[in-house]
Amino acid sequence: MKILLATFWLVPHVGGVWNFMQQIKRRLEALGHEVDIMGNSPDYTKYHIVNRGMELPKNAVLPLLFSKLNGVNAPLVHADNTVRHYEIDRYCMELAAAFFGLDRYDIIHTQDIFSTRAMSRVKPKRTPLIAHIHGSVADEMMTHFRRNPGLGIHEGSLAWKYFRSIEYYGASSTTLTITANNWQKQKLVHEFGVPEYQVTSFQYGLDAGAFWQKVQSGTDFIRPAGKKVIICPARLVFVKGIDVLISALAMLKQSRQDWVCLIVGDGDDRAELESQAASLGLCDDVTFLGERHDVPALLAQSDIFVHSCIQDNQPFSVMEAQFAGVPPLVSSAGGLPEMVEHGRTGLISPVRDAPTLAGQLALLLEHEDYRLLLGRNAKAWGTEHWSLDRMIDRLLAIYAAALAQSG
Amino acid sequence: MENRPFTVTGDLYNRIFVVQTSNPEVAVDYGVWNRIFASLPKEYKVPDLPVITFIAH
Repeated sequence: MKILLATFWLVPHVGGVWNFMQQIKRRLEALGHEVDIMGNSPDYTKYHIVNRGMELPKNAVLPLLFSKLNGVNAPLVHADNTVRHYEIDRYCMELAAAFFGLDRYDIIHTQDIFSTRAMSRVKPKRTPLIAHIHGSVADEMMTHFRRNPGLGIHEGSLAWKYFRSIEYYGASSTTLTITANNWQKQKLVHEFGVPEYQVTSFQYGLDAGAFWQKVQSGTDFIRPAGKKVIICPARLVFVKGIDVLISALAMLKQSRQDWVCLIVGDGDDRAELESQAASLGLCDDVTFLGERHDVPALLAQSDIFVHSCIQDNQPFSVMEAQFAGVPPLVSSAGGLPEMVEHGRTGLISPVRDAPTLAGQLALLLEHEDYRLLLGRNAKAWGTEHWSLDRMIDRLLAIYAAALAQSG
Repeated sequence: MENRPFTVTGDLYNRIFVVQTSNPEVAVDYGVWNRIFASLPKEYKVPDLPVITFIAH
């Protein structure tokens, strides 16, 4: 089969979607399929099929788009800056896809709602469109608008309604839409009105060989003697709830100091989080490592994993912690309760509940046997559940069914 | 010497716009736009009316 993986986001970039696409590409190519990856260029100036060197600079189409879609002819596009930004860029993607030519592909497999809507409008009718929806853009934007009331965007605003609209039309424009868990599926169906028959869910897979290879490559981090290592790999942005972990660590420190915490990742909130840690007297206890390429090896050196996020879908960091046998302490946000069985493969705390998280950290530090048991259970369950082979088998079955349906 | 693209008026591609206006002053690269135009489905239009009209309600 010839397969196009497409995203509205940047390719290449640092992040889950790019890693996911590369993982699928490698595995499908090993099975004899041809796979291209299309997306925005890292500097946003063009769309490209990154592995073929094909590109279309946006300035080849923008002058005509702006002259024809001006404020008089397309007033709703121009009524809000956010709407204009996303819509014009999506139309660039549509025209770029037409320029590259979609008729060479047997399957188009998109990775977000924008590219899904875009491809649905320009693909040949016979070509199945499969979408993987990795998170809710509408949810993230609504959270952003609520956190920043100064933007003046509320439920009645055009930008607010726009993200609801694109979430619905994106996920509804497919042959089949895939979510990684039931939480995301129910959200699409019940909050955004996507027909239930159009959505299926199955979990992501993790490349076990690549993971263990990275573990064996090692790390320059040396565990401090006599201390347990708590690790939190995440982007340092609001939705990841790192501030909740730092608050919990400040509470934990009052009762015990036999631990250190590694915060691995970078993001817009780094300075603020470092300042929070310093103000709570955690400078010697919490280390901000920044972006690292040795996370599997760091996990192998760790004793407890924390993901205290406010919203998340099915983060690879939790999957990797389970692979490594590090017991995960996660919040009850989004799809996380489907990843951890409380008291068997990890512990779950309510969203933004720092005291409960602090109590769970103390519990695992106090009871070594229980911590090790949770880690063993997490590893056994994770190794079975996050099998990449199983995910690829399911994906290929969906491709085959979609092709059969398209005749 | 720079190899300049062959340009034509963008009005040639008016079919894909919901509101069709004359903008003869906008010249576009014929090679690029002809290839795009040939690949687009016959019913393709911008803006994407279903998505855009939703926000008006």
